[in-house]
Amino acid sequence: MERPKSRYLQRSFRFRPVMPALLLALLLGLFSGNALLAQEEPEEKEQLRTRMSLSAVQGSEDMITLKALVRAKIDDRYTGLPGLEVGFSSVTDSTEQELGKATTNQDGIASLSLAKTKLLADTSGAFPLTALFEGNDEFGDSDDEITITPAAITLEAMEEDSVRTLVATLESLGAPVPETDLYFYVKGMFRPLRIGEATTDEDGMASVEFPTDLPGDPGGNLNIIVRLEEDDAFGTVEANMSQAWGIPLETMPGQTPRELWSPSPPLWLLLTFIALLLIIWGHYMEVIYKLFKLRKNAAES
Amino acid sequence: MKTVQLNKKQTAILQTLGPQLEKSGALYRLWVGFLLLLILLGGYGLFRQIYIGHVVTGMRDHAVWGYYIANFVYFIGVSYGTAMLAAILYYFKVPWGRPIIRISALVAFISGIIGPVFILLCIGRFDRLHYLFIHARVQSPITWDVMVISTYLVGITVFTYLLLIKDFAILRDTSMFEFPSWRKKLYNALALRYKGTPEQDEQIGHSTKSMAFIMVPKVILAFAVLSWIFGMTLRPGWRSSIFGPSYVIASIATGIALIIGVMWVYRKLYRLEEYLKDEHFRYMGLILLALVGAFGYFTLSEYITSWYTSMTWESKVTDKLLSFKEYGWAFHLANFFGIILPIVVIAIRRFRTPTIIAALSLLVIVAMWVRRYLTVVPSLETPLLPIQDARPEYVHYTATWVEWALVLAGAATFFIFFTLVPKLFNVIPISDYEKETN
Repeated sequence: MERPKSRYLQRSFRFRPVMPALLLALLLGLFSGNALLAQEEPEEKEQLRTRMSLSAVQGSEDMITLKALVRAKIDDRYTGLPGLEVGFSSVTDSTEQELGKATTNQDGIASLSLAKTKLLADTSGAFPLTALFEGNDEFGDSDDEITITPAAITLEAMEEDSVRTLVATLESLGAPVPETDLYFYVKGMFRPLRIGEATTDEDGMASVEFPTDLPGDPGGNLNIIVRLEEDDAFGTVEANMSQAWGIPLETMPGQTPRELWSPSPPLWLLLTFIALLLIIWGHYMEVIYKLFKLRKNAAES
Repeated sequence: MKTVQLNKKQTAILQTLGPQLEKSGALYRLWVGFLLLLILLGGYGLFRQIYIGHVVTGMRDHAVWGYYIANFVYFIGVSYGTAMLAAILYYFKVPWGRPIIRISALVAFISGIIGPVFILLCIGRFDRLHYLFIHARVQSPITWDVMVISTYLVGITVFTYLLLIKDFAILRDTSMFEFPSWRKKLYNALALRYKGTPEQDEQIGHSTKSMAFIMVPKVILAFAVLSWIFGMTLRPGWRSSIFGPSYVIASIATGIALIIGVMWVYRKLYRLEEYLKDEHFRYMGLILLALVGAFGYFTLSEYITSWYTSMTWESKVTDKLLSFKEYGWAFHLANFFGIILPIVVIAIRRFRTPTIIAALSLLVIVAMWVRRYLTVVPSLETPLLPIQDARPEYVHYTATWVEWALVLAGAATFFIFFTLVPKLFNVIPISDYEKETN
């Protein structure tokens, strides 16, 4: 038997304005929220002041990489700003030459790699460089300049009586650079592994002994890096080489029975799969057959 | 030639529902036009996506899935949930379930069509689509899903059709309306020469019951496979043993909410108060209450264990969901409107009116979609091996207008189906009232 409507039920219209309001609140909350539509929209406020620091990495084969870090003070901490365009130039007293533009990455660093031959040199042979962020609605402009003296490291691997030695020679403008600390690394997945440091002699040479127990790739290859780090005159200078001084990595020790790329599936899986499909499709076939029969029976009757 | 005979009750239903079968007003045409416009907009978005490539979407190297997969998981889940409900109500002959079975099956059918379309939208190389079958690997959960979804789609289509055959015969035989000849031919073809003989009744009854019987294990299998695609992937927020049950419960709850919504609209539009009674809404509301309650418990269980154990990778996702600077608003609002509010309101007896339950259902429908989105995207934005120097748009997924257009087109397809269905046949199964003389 139908239950008589209560007086509340009859007055249910009272709730009607409430529900649309709740719905509206939900929709506004969900779709205006940063999560679904977009990242947080910055509020209208003053431009934030930015700071830039420009550095350079001189690599092998006469290449140089310019790196400009753009930061601003956000929540009392200097934070790298992503997505900003930085212009790099080579400047001497008389000439300015644009080198190119790059956008800052997630850490706020814009990088530009180019050949040293594209840079203008001053009278002493050094490269005066500038970087400029022109500013936008959110962030104010900033720039930085450095002067980099060209330098290069040559790296040699030597093996004598099963003692392995790395020898690095640092030269600038054709002359050896003495009394300078060089650091030796092996490239790793996340960060380089430091294996030693040494100071250059009057011939600009520094050497370290290389360990024998490092794991390499399947061919035993290791990527060795030597680096002069953040020098006032030279910036960072580095050289690298590949050397088969590692212990070859054995790939795939033994069989992995549950691998997805195995040539054929395990029998139990195949049988279960086929059995399930057969049961269900068999069922369908029976029903569809009956539907045809329904039509046929009607025709006969 | 023998035709299907109607009793007084059936004639009365046909008379009530008659006008909607024959005529459409201006408002109706406007509504259909609006929905078609949305679908066209989606079509244009799709054209751009195929012509230019997936770069027109917000999907990048980190978040390789976005709105499309959220929508796929949502619709296919709803389809499984409603198919299960229809099958259970039919198989166990639940007395009050009679007018709901058809609506449930229709929701299951159309969601089952829309869902997989969104998977196709994710595929960059349509020309290699057939590789899924010719190079299928039984070891891969993706192959399980392709098989299970196509099997399920055939099943739900046959089941829905079986539920409709008798009504097609009634519409074929009635002289109450002046249908155009193409419709008469259509009804004639779809009715399969059904004339209401006891043998035919028995055949259809047996087939439908058998389809309903197999539907339940099939849907559980389908649910399991889809949730294992996530659960068997080593990712925080996915690799959890409760992922499957939680997804099943959420999907059935969403399905129930959608059915309630459709019932409410049909009841208002076509004055079906006599068939879709208050008690139907009460019962469905109570099922919804139980399901969102269980989903709330699973949600709490899932996130409190991951939050408490504080495993680094897991914590990153949990923190994103809880932090108001990231997904906190969406997560908390979805939980409030999708879980807490329905529980509190439906628990109070005097609030169990059709309108309130329908409004709560709408909240559940939206909130559950948000939860599906929050399952897919924050996990993908938290890779174990982040790409070095990743571009900002890789780190945060933002949907583009193309994705919005296609999502809206999906919703419009759902609505247009339910707008057109009452023009083709009755949403209340007339044939089910054949034993009533009232």
